[in-house]
Amino acid sequence: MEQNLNELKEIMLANPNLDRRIKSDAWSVSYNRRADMVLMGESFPKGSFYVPVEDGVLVRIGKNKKIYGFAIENAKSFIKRNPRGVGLALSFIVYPIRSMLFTLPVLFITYQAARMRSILSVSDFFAARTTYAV
Amino acid sequence: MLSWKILHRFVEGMNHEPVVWFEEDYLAVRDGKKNHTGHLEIETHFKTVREAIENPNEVRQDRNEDKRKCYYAWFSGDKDYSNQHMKVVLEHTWYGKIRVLTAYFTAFFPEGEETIWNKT
Repeated sequence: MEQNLNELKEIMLANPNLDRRIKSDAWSVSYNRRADMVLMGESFPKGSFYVPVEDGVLVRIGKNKKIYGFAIENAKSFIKRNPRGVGLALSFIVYPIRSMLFTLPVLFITYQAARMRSILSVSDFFAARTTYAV
Repeated sequence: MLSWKILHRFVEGMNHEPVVWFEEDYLAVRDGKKNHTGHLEIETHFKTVREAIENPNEVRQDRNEDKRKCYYAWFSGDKDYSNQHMKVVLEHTWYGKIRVLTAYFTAFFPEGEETIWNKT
């Protein structure tokens, strides 16, 4: 346990610019439905392997401890255990159709709200004009 | 569309039950998806995958899914990979077969998996 933690600390220290790399290398994310596993990162080169982090989360590193990506085992149960935050973000990848059913009403409401706002602003404009005219 | 073509057959080492690896499952693990390389080790180290299933050092219960069991074989390293475990996840399916879900090299055992069988 202690050894694992030390290993993870070493990996963290060996990747100080991870955030920048994630953006510059345009890491991608995909869901392997048949293995129930979410993969994210760049291409995993020969020689790279996983180090378990916690709760089904794995980090893929090379021999030089460079991080090539992450994986989440048992993605569906991970989402159930973490319904907020990371789990919520992953649910869009794991359940794209269900997420679409969720996002469409939100978009619809946003659209309706925006439409209503535009109507109200025109109405306000009209009211202001008419008041000024009077 | 689901493909049921069996690419590899094994006999697992704990209860000596037949195991299959469907072609589509194998390709999904090996190739990953767009912009990803999957787990190349299942092709380059297929012998170690077979050893993990047929002659494992340790079998552990998956921490979240009752139907999934993790088979481990120790790999002593080569020019590409350091010494570590080959982990193979097997699933008992609703249609009665045991299938390979995924396989990969891992540095150590994850927390929360309970050992249900070992070679010694």
